[in-house]
Amino acid sequence: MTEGVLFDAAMIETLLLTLKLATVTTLVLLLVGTPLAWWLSRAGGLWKEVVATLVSLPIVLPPTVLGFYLLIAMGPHSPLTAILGRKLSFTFEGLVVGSVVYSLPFVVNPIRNAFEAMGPRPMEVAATLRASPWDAFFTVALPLAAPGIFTGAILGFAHTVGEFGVVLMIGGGIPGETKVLSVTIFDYVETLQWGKAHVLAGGMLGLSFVVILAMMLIERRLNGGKR
Amino acid sequence: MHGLQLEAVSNAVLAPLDLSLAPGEALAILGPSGAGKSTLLKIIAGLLPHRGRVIFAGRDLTGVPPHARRIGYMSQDLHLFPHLSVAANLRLPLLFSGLSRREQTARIHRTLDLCAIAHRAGRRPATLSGGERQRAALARTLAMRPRLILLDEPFATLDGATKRGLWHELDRLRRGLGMSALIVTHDPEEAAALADRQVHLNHGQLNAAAIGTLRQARRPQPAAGSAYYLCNLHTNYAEPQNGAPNVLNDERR
Repeated sequence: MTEGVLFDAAMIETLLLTLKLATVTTLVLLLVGTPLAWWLSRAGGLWKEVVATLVSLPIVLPPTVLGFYLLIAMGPHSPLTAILGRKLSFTFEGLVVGSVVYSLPFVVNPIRNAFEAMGPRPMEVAATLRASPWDAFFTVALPLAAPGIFTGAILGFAHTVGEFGVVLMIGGGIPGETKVLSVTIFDYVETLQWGKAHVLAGGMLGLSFVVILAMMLIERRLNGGKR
Repeated sequence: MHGLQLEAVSNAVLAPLDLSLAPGEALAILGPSGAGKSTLLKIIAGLLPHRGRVIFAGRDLTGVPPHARRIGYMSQDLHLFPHLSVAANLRLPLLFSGLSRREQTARIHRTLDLCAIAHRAGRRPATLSGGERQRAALARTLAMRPRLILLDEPFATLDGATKRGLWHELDRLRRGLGMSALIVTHDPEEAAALADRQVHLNHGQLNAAAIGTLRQARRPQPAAGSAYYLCNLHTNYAEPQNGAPNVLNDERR
């Protein structure tokens, strides 16, 4: 197949959709992941280990396996579809759900580590300073865990931008709806449009490098330049 | 009445003990490491579960969470929050006091002045010296104007000259604010300087024979020109005289 211009409107649409997916996913991950990480850092017993294992499963599961089960869970005959009244598979919302599940450990684990590293003392001290557990969480725990929360957000964002297997399984490649960057690169390679594949792949490589470098630098600043 | 009363208070470390503290009184708890001194303070602060009753200002604190006890607590590790400036550390307890933002700011400045740390108001704790951190932590405890303060080896990390200067100033400040105090220490000299009375705790048991009155004459005075004045209370507030209304009573919220 011959290639036209190396950068066209379809690529911009893909890029914007990918950034939109990563942003929405990261926000949902922070809202869901922060209280979950707090609970994991404070709870005891077997339940905690079971939940921690479930959270970490996407690290070891092949994305196609995760995508397969998510596809069934969000498909036309699933209980979830019956409750919602519409199926989530092959929709943007379905991609968000899949991305949240897939990137959950990359957000929860750094935040949980930050809460655990903090120990119980700050919350005890805050309690003796009249702060209720709720107040202490927002005024002391969250700010002290800020570097971990920041790391989790960056990892969640970058991981969502780079995911392929899960989004392909549950989203396919509907332009403007579910066709994200990684799927587009795959399509370009399959149709031998190497130039366009280079543009997007190189862009992702550069973006990933900048994101990780920025994360390192900002984390160093948040830690008071100690590293 | 703002006195403290402990009735058969015990836990895994402490044998059942009874203890009472009169309003405005300072009691030193002496004893070796591992005797249960810090445990007792944590129980009173509400940080550890226990059996028996803790009654403060006529109110049974059983089941009352730490943040609702209105008791000041300063631990040996000070634990100033590193992400907050000194002034913001003082503001933290005031956020939950019902004071307006303006009243909070006024209280912060007044307390920082009292503890001679106003010049470090905008600094982060990590940039302070040991003595300055001690002052800042004490100021944060006092900013709430609690009726009772629990001090767990408050000056253990300071050198002798510095802490001797601070003892005198803390005692003046506590009296000026009309606070009761429980002071954990293993230093008899510190107990004599800060407390009206002392008890000994050993292996989780109060040694009744060692309960004694200290008071007045033995209290060391800081050397003239000491650079280690914790506060300048003497220039701002008069000590209350025999039950006379305290100058800061109107600030208690």
